Amino acid sequence: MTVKRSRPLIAAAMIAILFVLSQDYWTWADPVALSLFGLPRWVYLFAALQGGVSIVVLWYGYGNTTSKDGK
Amino acid sequence: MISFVIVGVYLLFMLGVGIVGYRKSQSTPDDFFLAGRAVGPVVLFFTLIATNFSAFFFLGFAGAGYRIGYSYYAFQSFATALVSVAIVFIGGRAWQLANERKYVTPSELIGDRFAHTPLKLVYAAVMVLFTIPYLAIQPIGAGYLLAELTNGAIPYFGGAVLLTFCMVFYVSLGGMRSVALTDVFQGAMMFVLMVLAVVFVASALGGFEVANTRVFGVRPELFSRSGGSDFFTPARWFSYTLLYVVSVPMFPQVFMRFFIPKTQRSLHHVALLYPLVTATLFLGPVMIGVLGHLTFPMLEGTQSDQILPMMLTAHAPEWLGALVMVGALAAFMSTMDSQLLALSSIVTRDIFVGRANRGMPLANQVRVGRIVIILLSLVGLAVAYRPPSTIFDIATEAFTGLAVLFPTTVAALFWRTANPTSCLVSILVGESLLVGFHYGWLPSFLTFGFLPLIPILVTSTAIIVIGSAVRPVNLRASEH
Repeated sequence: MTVKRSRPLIAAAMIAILFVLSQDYWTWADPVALSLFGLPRWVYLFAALQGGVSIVVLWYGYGNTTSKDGK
Repeated sequence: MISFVIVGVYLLFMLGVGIVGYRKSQSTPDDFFLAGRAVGPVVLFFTLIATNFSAFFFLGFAGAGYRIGYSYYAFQSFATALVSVAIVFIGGRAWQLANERKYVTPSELIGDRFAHTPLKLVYAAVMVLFTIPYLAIQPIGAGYLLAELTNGAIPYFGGAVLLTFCMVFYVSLGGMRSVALTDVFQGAMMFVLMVLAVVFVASALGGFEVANTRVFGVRPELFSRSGGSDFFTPARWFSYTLLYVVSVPMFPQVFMRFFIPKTQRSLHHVALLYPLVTATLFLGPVMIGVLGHLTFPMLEGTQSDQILPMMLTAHAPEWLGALVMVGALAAFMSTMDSQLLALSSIVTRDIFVGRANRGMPLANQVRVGRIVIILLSLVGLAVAYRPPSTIFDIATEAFTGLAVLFPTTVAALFWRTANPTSCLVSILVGESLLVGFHYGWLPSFLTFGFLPLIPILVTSTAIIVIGSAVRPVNLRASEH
């Protein structure tokens, strides 16, 4: 799939992630149980998701640099 | 005493860096407002971070952590991390166009793409009007902080005035070169000192695990996904996340940073690191806010926005408190100086030069820009004189006003046959809806439980899509 064609897919995936996260679907992570440093488990889930965002940027961004930038 | 010495040394250092920037600068709008479009990835990283992490990052996050709990970290850090996707999509395309057509301001890009002056002016006006409240947050934060850490020796408004004047000095001297140089120093300082602050506060309260467990014993709702008072309902969580994703790239001070790198790849380097920074750094102020319940359990409203300096005063040695205070001041100043410069460029280029003084020499444009910086700083101080609401509330209104520009911006960057009149109507209708919801003229059920942003954004987007489908117009600027 070309980078250009993947744009709608990325946008749709982002909206889907936002929507899913806005629901209570991660209650598997018991909100009462505290984890490392006394933080709730779901805090680490969100920290990990941000690593996922970096991967999206890595995949999309570096494949879409124009040749006009001198690189 | 030590607080005064550290703050004094810091301010003098900032002025010195500002003068270095001035010596390297030339009297052209490109150089003054965009540092000659030659910024490398390291400086770009720090200037974007320092610009975007403001007084809101230190005081607003800690205050929200106090009121809402760790749920605020989850929302805020994830929403801000998603901004990196916007940096790649919107920033990359904006960089390409600005590099070809030599745009200085976002509204120049919009006006030229659509060949539509009314749209350009409305776009510029919205950017200015809705950035001023956010600009005023910075002196408000600075005033609180200096007053707290000097035990009132420097009163709230006196501190706000002192820092604003210092900032105006170096911004008006060296423009973006001075701002970017000071941002590198300020950004690095924010990182280091926030980490030190949270480590010291948690240690003083028995360590991270013990302190959190103690708070959990008295306020368990601060550890729930929905937060204190069930603040983050699913609809609200979704709304606030989307609010950040669509509004942050519309901040004029952020948008203009898409124009300054020497290469597009620099933007991608920054976007890659951005989510990693939010995942780690944002936990600090929120945690200090949550732990604040152990020391100051009964704060209300705007009082909770002062929880960070209060905790430092209570639990950190004086030298560290003073250093962290300087880190927080760095956050205020690095945001406000960029806002002043961005708004100055818009007022100067799009309103003053664009209409009344077409053909004004470049050096004179820079002079006008400097005067506008001074005037805008006075406006910010006037708003800060009587803070109208909590920092969180001020930011939400300002962000929504700017988010209305998002559909028009996307259309300008990616849609070759977008209709400019429909873009203009979408902005006017969007802002009217915002005013209607804010003053209660529109019934709240129309938001369907979301923030007003969602129906506003849907309406604005629909207007552009329908208008452009019915009457497509070919964009004027070069196509790629």
